[in-house]
Amino acid sequence: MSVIEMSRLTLVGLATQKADIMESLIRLGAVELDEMPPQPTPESLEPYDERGFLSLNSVSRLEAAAEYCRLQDPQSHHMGSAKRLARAEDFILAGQREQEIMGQLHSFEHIQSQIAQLRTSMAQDETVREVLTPWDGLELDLATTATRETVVFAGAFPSRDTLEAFLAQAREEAPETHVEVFSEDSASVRVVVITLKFREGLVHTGLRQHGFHLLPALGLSGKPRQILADIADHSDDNQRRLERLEKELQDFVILGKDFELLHDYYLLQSDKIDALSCLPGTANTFYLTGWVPKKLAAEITRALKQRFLVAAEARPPAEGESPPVQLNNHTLVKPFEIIVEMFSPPSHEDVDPSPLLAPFFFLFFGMMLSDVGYGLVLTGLTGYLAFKKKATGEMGRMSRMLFISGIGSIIWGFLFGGFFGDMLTVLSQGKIVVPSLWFNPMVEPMTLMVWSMVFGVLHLFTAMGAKIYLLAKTGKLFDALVDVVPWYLVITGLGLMLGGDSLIPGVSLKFAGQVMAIAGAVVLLLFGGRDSKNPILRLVKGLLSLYNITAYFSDILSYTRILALVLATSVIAMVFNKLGFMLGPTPVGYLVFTVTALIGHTLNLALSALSAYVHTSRLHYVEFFSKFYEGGGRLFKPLRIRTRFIQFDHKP
Amino acid sequence: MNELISLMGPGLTLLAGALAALLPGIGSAKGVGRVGEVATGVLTEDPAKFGKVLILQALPGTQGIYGLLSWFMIMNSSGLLSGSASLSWQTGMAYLMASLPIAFVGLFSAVYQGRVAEAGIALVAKRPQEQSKALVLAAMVETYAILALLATVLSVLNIKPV
Repeated sequence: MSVIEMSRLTLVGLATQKADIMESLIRLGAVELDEMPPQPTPESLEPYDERGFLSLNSVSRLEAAAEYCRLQDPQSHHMGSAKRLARAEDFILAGQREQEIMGQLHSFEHIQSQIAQLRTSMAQDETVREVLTPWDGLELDLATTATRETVVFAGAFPSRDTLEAFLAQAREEAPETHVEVFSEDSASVRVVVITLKFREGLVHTGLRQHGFHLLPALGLSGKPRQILADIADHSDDNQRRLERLEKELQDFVILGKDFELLHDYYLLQSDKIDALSCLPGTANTFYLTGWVPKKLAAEITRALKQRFLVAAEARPPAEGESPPVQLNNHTLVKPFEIIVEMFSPPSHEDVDPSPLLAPFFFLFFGMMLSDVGYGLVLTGLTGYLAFKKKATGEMGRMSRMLFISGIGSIIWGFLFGGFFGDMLTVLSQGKIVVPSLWFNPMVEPMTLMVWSMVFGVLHLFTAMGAKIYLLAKTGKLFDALVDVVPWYLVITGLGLMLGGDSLIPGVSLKFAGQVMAIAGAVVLLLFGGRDSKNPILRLVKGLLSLYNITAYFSDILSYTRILALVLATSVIAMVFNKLGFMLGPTPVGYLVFTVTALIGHTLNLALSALSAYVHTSRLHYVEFFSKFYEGGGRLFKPLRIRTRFIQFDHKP
Repeated sequence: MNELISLMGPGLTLLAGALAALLPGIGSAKGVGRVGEVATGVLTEDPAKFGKVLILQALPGTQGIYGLLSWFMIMNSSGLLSGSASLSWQTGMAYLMASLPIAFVGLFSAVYQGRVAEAGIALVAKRPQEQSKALVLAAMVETYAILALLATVLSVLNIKPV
């Protein structure tokens, strides 16, 4: 249906042109190579070229520099981790300016490391200053710890009492000890202790016992006053140097773009080397196989032959080969491909279920999150991400999918009459009631339950239709007629038997329903066991196939979750509205309401949108796909330029 | 004695609302808590997965919301929310019975859903692109909470308070 056909590409070329050919293939972004075990790497393909630039190390250095510049540059700060738009020519040019950019990177890093060193030494100075300031004025060279006969300890006792205790002990054990009190405050008593060398051990132990803290050595020499004066002198100097270096570094910030370009250019080169290392070949030739989209195949082989000396051929996939798949759908359906891909992409023989899934996803998501306000917020938010910020990757695809689904929410919000729950009704104290264009599920939950199941039956019928189509396509139309079609009769018939009275006033369709259900059941009974020759066994098997009704029954009941989620969304919204407006229509009341509503509705929107997404997915994965779709395919992953910082404004 | 019986109606109704909010709330707290513990472990390795694991952690939280929803429906439809307190003990009993499905199924399904989501975190840690599978597997458990919620809500809506 909407799966792009693939062709098998085989190419033999000269080993000397290998790197260039690979680069063109990567730039082309339309060829998927077969995965092969890595071959032993020939010398010339080492990931270090003669200039020694392209190594993983320089890639990560460039990355760090580019990230730093992006944070510092006021113009690109707001970009965060989004990709910068760049011209392809600049990208190629960055490769040629490699030498220059790497030189700049080197200077940049040099300044950075100078700054780091300076910061460390300033921090050290600060520590010394803090430690020595209380000792300012001490007439002792800090390098002096001993003389010929004596040892000196400078340090502090925690209090006067501990000092006294130590003195008492010293008088007993080492009377030669002299203690000079230098200064004293509430937290410590700073002293210099001098004693004879042979008493050192004893005195040291005594000091420790009384909580004495030795002045940290810090590797300093000179008197504290001198040291502090030196630091003060330095500090201005260092500060000026730091400012100068930081200014210099700031000049590099505008080069951030170059770092980004070269980083991404190196990524391309390293991808090329990775891809090359897997290619088999002889000394002078190489050989590659892979997949290309069929409509591009002829053009690609022609272009390759023109530019290089190669033998290239593209042929349709042979029996037993399983080409990768790429989905290709209408713009409105495309965003929903992500739901299919998350389940499992179709195999190359399958049909792509996206066109069938898209309208139902839109329908069910919209019903589950049926609120005009929530829908507006959701479309606004995802629209901003998808179209203003131009988010790429999974984020971009999810945004586009939720953008469309959010529109469904707005539509259903009008049908069910919800705007942030009953916000307007609460705020106007009952004067404004948002009318429901169809019915209000809070008042008529049973009606919604019935409709949920009716939509569910339509959903299932669509899936069964797809099954019939698939069976007919493979020549099993008869199987489709006796295995699938009767269920249409049985389900519709049973539905009419239950509710046939109320559909058209005055006409009872109950009898028609009975006829349909019985006709369907009879076909199933007769053909359900048609692979058995034995007629009795065949009837028993047919009877067993009728048992499948339980599966259909539970499938249909499963759609009642729509009702539950509708109620959950709107009732919780109502709870927050009620809660917020408890203080009534006073200025404070409105303030409280604003805050409560902001928090409450944000929370409710986040959780309800998540529930709607998860449960709509589930209805498709479990109820819908189980009828006709298995998947098991592999997505087309062509070699392409992988970038971290930039995206191209057009294809290089 | 008559006074006691006249108190039974509102009492039983309040009990019904309390159970509906209480048990699924406990279950959700337990489920969300477990998933959160494992998710934090994953984040120590790769903080960039925060968005993905947060969504998985939120899943077992819905039962608590269903509980609150049922509480609100019970309080609102019985008139207790608007201050009326004259309910017969039969009505109170009816509300109590109606609250049982969401109370118990909510409690247990939140705990079990938490376990599935917890295992889903391990899946996301290794293969972030498979997040939606982890989500759907966890949502399978929630189906029963939804069915229970429907049972409770439809019963509550059909009770005519006397």
